[in-house]
Amino acid sequence: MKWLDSLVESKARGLAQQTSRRGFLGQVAAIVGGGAALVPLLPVARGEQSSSLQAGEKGDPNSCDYWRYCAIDGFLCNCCGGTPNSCPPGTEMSPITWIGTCENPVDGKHYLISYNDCCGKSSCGSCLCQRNEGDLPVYRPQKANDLNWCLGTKSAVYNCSTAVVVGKAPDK
Amino acid sequence: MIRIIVACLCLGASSASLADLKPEPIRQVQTLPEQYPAHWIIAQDAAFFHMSDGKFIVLDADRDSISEQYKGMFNGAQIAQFAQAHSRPEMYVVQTFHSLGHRGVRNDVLSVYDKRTLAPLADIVVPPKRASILPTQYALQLVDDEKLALIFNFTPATTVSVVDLDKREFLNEVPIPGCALIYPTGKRGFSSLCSEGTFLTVALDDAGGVASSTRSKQFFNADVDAVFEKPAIQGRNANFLTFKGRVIPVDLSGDLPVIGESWSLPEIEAGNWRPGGLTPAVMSANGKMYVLMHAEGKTDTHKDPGTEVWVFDPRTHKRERQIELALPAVSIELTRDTNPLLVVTTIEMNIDVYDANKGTKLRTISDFGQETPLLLHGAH
Amino acid sequence: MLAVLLVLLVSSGAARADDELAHFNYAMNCQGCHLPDASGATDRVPNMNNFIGYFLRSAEGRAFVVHVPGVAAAPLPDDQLADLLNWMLLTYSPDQLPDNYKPYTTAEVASLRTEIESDPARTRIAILHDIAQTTPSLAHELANAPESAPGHNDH
Ligand code: HEC
Repeated sequence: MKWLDSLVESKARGLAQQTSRRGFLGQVAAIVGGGAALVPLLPVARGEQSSSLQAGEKGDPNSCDYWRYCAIDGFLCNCCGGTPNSCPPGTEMSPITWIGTCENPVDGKHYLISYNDCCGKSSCGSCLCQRNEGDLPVYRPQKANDLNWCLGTKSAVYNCSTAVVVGKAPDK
Repeated sequence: MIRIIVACLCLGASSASLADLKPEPIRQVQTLPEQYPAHWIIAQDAAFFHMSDGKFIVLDADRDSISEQYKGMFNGAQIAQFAQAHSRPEMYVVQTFHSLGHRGVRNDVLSVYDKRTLAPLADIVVPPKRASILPTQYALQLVDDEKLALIFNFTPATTVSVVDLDKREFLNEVPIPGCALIYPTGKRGFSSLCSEGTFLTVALDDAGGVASSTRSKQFFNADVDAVFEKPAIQGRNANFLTFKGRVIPVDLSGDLPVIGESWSLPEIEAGNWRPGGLTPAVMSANGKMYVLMHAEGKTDTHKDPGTEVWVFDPRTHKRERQIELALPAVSIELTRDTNPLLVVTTIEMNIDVYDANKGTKLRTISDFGQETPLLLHGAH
Repeated sequence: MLAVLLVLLVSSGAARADDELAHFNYAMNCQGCHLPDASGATDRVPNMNNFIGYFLRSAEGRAFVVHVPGVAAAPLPDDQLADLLNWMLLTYSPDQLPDNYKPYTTAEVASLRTEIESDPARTRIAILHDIAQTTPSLAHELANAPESAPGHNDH
């Protein structure tokens, strides 16, 4: 899922001149998410690594700025009972998805990230993130920000998004 | 205030001279006119945090109090898509249900709503394949004098479902491989935008089958300067904008699209002003193009909210006016008349209403039960 | 099985860098819909694992593989697209290729990709039935699998 666009972070940056980032997010959060939904966009004080992370990575997987989420859009499964690469209990991971690359700051290498959606329960509602890098309209579905990718799952209802490392880009 | 005055009058009068309140009938339900007044709008709220409960809210944008603004509401589940007829008092919503709420058998239906009662007249079962995509005008369209409804499907194979609105039945599924969305073309056809920068144009036959299917020459390159899939359209005259601010006029009135000479939006370079947002551009009934603009535009800012609306004349390619928005907006729309209101969804998820000709802000419509009203429609 | 093949391909040495790029291009441009093992998704995206090689048994099939929109309109230059297809065929479906299998050339891909199938779901069935006439293993598979053409199921 890649389409909760207008509500979130990169927009806030664009508007930094008019409104402070926290101010903008606070406003949208208050109206859209009942106050708390977007708070995790800001760095959250918490342990460095969740158990699903590999030894060669670092950072806060509850933050939109986490390296794996460079093209994510939607609710972070890590805040919804899942992890960056697994779905919350009782949901089903969509086999069909979109794939991009992100740079791992620890080793400076580019990895292939598969943004599989978790499906079958309603919107998780926490940790809404959206990073618009490389987004194109739906005539390029593999890059399209606006689609719900709960395809090929028993239910088309979207819950949250994962970011699974599925390979490494060739060294330059 | 008024209540206080009334209360004072009451106190002053002798209670004996007042007639008793009459018993009121129960089960009264309001209705709406067959044609909506020109300044009514329909706010499409996909309710991203509760998507089974999406809403379409009918609002009178001329009024100041919520009780006068709020005319009624109808539902659309799981990011529904919407279209209105101009020739009959009907509105259409294509939506998705699962038999057990969030799970169970998936059912997609095209619901026909009566504009007067906002009640469903029919639910036409269609293949459970419709694209679950951010609200857009171009995932559900009417063609053939509004006899046929066309629904964009994504499974991820792309097809279009053809529905007969007179008979209220699904007719056929048309493949549009590698292409997306629906731009009505000619009498009974449509064009779709394709990955490699072309149009695929399908002419339909009587039975909703494919009479012909034609790919245009390449007219844009998504890797260099992508076109927005949301053109400013008036009738069959479309202006497709690109991320970098070019305008590609396309005449969709004939059997095949005629792609005109492209031009660049003027005066955008100082400050790097670019079109953007979820609905970047709309046409007025007077033939002016209103474009939502943001400064400091660059790669990946194409969906950023805009801080100004620029008004262009597509005939002269001149910028005529700039409307500075009180609050940045993600979507813009105009009412259908020649003295239109400009209505915008702000980043606070309220609706700001402007006098489009004067550029002055009139009011904010808020607290109408909305969550994410990302697409606005001028009513018909 | 896949791992073994990959090792074989990799150990052939010379082609290694190209294969790595082909694999990467597959992952970036195809895998989201077709899955890492090319098995697709029931009724939606056709299985290519131990299958796609069959198409190379007829001229129409060979053209069809390039005419599907995911291939013809892939944002890749002709030479990389040809490498990707050749890598994909040998990696996922070597056993189904014809004995006289020839890899796609850049020029061939360049000319074929100018055309995009107008009804892939229908065309593929016709092509597969043709090939099945002379390919018993495919005939067997088609007989056992309900023909759910992606894009045309459900109704
Ligand atoms: C957006 C999803 C998507 C992407 C991306 C995609 N495909 Fe496909 N592919 C499909 C679908 C769906 C079909 C079924 C035919 C149709 O309806 O288009 C298909 C069919 C095919 C077929 C024909 C298989 C058969 O049995 O009929 C081949 C070969 C193929 N794709 C290769 C590729 C390659 C190689 C790439 C990457 C360069 C790719 N595809 C990218 C969705 C996709």
